[in-house]
Amino acid sequence: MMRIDFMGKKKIWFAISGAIVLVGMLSLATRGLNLSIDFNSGSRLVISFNRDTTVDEVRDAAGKAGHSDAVVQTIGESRYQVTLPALSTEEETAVVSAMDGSIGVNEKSWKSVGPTFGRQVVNSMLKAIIISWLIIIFYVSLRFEYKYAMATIAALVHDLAITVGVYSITGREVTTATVAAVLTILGYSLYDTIIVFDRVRENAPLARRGGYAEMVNESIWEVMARSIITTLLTLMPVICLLLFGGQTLKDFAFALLVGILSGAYSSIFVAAPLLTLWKERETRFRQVTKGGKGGGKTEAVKAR
Amino acid sequence: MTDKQKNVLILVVMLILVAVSIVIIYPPGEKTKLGLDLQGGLEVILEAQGDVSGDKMDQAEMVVRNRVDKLGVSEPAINRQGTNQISVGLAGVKNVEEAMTLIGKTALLEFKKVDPDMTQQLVTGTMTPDKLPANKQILTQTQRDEKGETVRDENGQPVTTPVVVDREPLMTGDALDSASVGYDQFNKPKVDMTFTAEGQKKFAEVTEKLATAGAITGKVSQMAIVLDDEIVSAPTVKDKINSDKAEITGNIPLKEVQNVVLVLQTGALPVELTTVDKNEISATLGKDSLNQGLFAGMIGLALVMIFLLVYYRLLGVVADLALIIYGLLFYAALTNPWLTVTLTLPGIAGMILTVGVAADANVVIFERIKEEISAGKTIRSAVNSGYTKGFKTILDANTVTVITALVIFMVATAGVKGFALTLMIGVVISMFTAVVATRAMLALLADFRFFNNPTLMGIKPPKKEGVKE
Repeated sequence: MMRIDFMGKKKIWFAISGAIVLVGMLSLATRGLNLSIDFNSGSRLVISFNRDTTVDEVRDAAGKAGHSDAVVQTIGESRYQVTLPALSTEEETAVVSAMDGSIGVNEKSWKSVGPTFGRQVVNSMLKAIIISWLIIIFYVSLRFEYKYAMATIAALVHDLAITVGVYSITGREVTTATVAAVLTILGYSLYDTIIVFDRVRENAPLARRGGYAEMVNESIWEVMARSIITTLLTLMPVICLLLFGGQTLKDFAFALLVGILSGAYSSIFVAAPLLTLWKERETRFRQVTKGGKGGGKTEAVKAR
Repeated sequence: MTDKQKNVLILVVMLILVAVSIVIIYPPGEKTKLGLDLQGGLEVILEAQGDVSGDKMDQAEMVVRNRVDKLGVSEPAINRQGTNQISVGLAGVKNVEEAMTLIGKTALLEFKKVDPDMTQQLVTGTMTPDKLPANKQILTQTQRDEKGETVRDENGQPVTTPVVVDREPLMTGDALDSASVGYDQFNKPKVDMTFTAEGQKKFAEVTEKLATAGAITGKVSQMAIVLDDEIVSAPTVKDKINSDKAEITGNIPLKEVQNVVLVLQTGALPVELTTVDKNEISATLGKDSLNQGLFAGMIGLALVMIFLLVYYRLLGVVADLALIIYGLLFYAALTNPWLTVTLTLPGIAGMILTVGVAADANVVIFERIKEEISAGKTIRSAVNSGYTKGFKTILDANTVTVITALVIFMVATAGVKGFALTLMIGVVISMFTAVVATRAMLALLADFRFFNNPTLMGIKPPKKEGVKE
């Protein structure tokens, strides 16, 4: 089997990650994020009618109620979603009765968020990210050592940047559900990294012989099957959710999908090389690396 | 106790747990408490304006609770959120608009003196609102037709008349002892109010002053009865009224009379509450969301089980069995009669994610076992060391997931809490089913000869040279 030299080609992986992150950040700077009413305040109506209708007709009906700025979309088979600025309950009733008059309303659901609430949501999410990251650094430092923790966090930041970038590029709406999913999936990406690092820690004594990079390579190969299978297994239900779930579940699933893929990639191609880079600077490993067989570590691995 | 006895014991415990779970779950689907997003309903978050003390919030919560009780909704959920918010969850509300008005109404009742001259000037346009003296204010009174219905213009907006009143109230709702629905001689509904002893004295004083002022100026004195800055009625006062009773009349529909009585009875809110978040979910949307989520979850679970079976063969059978047990225990945990867990839409997402987590624990261990067998160990010892080494990894990884979920649970908004909760429940249960239970099963299976065939586990026979150094 052809073996990829994960550590030797780290510049390539860093370049790939860097490019993806850069494109994402450029998009973020120019296009921004499509924030839902959860963050911006507004009212959103999900409605179904007694007869077949069109987006235009729904928009006209909203216009009659004085809301020509309504954004109308179809969701699912028979439902329409109408996004409006924040309305009072009376105004909401007026919109629905206008639609009932012209089309005939079957059932309706409203969600409306005031501006202060959106800010609270953002704040609580930021708080959650910071607290959980601090605890994770602490935990990983306790179980491993702080260099592992820092590499883990670097992979996390990478995953977060990629996820945010994907949301900006695709223009997919960011909801509170999305943010929660991203948060958890960061935890899950960590899970991947920890499994790789766990093996690295176990194999660390071997580094004295073949060099740190080679030991990390070997460790990654050992957990490779598990990484691929796990990623597949986790993706299966998530993809089902993306295909068959309703609106909110789709929001969750998309964020989970991006996070799982990015997490599986980053644990091998970001966290492990970073750890290697850092560890090789330690004297005990540096000497091994320098004193390695002739052509250095890359060749040594190929020769196996 | 030998290892074998220990494993048998673990399996017996597992079987008992499964049996208990089935008892808890049965009949399926009926006992699980569904969130409003899955069964439909109204969820409102009210926020107090300005600086508020905990005392005032306690009072406000009580007032809101009383009002919700009067709505007659079964099992309302009223909770404090943060320092200045109250969340209200109501399942199966028919008239959302009415519920919203009732819950959030400040119900500040005031009696104010009408200024007939300035009102006249304002209506005729000889005075503009910006010329109004600081001690006066403009309030509005909604126009009603003969049936008591609100008159609306062509845009559906209610038609109102402006009235100028003194900013300083003559008296307030504190003077009220009770309120009830009454009927006048034409059988039209009205609001009957009873004053406290002190309130009666004050009312007599105020009406006397108004009557005297009317007699001096030769104009009829009007007293506006103002509820939340809206004039409900503005009766004329000709004489001093020394009575503990007063009424609000004026062609008001019964429904509205009842609402006014209700808010007067439950008392005024000590703080102004505004709606910052409102979720109204129709029962059909909720049901659809639930069905879609469960369908997606079932398909996902089935795919995972098929994969495990194909890839790990006999080990896969064990893992699938563990997944089924996991599903049962998880369902029972959601339905348990002791600690209420509400299943929400985000909760379903968390639940589905845990299927992956549960399966992953087995993958980590099985890959270890395969490695150990490839390195030339016997199956029995490979199973043993696979679990010992795998467990540490799984513990670390799951701890981190639980930490993240816990933080989200503590910090995040209500909707997202459900996601974190099911994720935590799932991870903890999966540690038990995927690790402890499968280990006992495999250890017992290892006693059978047929088990000692690596191909049954999807493993190639051990290589002679060995992969590990």
